[in-house]
Amino acid sequence: MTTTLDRTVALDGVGMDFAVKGGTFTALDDISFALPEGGFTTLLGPSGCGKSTLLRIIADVMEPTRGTVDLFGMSAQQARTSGLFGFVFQDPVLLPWRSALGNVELPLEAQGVSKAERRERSRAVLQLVGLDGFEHLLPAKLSGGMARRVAIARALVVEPSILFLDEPFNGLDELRRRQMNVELQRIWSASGTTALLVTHNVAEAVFLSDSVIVMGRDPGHVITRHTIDLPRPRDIDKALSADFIAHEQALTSILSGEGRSSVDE
Amino acid sequence: MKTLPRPAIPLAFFVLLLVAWQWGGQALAAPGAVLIPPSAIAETFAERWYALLLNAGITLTEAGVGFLLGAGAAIVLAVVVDRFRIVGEGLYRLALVIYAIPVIAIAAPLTAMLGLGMESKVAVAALSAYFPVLVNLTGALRTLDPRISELSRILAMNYSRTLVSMRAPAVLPALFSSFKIAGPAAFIGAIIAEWMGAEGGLGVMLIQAMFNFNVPLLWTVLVVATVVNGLIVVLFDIGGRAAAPWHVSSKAAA
Repeated sequence: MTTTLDRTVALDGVGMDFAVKGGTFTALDDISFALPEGGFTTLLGPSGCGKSTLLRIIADVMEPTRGTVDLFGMSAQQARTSGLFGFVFQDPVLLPWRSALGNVELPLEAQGVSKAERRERSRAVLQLVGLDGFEHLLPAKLSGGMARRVAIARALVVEPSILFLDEPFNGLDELRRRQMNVELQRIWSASGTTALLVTHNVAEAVFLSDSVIVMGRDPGHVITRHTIDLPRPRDIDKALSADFIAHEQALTSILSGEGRSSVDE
Repeated sequence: MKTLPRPAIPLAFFVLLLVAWQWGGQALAAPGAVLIPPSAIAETFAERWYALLLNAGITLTEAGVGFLLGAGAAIVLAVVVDRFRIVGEGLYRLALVIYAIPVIAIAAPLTAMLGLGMESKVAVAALSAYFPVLVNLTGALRTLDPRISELSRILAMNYSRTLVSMRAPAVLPALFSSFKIAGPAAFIGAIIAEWMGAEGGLGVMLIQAMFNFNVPLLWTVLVVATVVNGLIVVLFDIGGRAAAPWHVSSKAAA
């Protein structure tokens, strides 16, 4: 993909402390890594390892206690206020009084885009996520999967340089989740953006990622980085192939090995 | 049960109450008895309807202006509390202290200050109306889905745009709920202020009826005031449904 921005995402020594009763709780410690441009990277780890917190720090929703976050040669705040971010939450978080189209238009309103252009771009991105013909439905009339598609469309409509995905298919049943992951792969390939996903689901991480950053807890830290070199587009039917399973086993053993050592300590 | 339309059951109870009331009123119709039967109230209304409606109109006008001022001030204050937490907290505490003054106690000095005209009634109505709006709206803004704030931050929206696009629409149902309390409160506030001295209004009628031992008129004014209060609640209920048709409360009775 082409871009005028010269650098990708780089974290250096990022740490996060929270004030708790009688002291501080270290949620993240000494996190350093870089993301390739245009790639799909996943933060994989158990509950409580601070992966969602880390995603929010990179997206400048929270400020880290220590360390620096650099996106495309800017500070996280500059990148955020320049409108380079798309963010998909665990739940769709749609505005219930706005139609699917109205929800997708929201980020463009914030950027002061004209009404005609807002309509056009929002319709195009709704078409991309497969919601052609459902533009005028209110969120209450949408199924769980459709609401997720609207949330992805809302994140993509600004043509973000980086797409943050915080367990976007949380709460969907397993079958629907797999279908949505196939869709996500297709949408991400079409958009050409850099993606950073947070999940605790190993199969999901293998299916979607070029690179998986495995995290451990107490405090949250990076254990290792695992490259998934499977060819794209990936087919859900091949998810049972030996290559897929080998990657899943590798990641699972890293995660469970970490689990054992923390119990031993 | 299924064959009856839903309003039929409360209506049946209401008719039953009226019958019991009528019977009780007649049974106790000894000299000095004070339970006025519905038929006597209906007679009084038929005789005095013009004066009753005229005075209800006066009280309603005072309450309406007071409501607009009180609720308006509460909305502004709630937004200030939402936008500037620290300054807002101080103002919020002050507003709570002011509300601790009983309406009936503040009505007299306010009438002494502002005179027997409309101003003192409007002031008491406004004082009665602002509090439910302030408390409900401040609470609704404070308990908004935190991800709405995160979303507005990611989209780099400034506060005023967040307010217009997200926060205000989200709290509309809570605002209308608070109006359902503030509206009748303003109306009652205006009646209380009229007791302290006024040229007209339902409060004046109540006082005069009491001094003349006109018990049927006393009850009739009560019924008129109750009906007006009920209409205020219904009005804001319909308004709330129209303003936020997407909200669960709008579908509850459908």
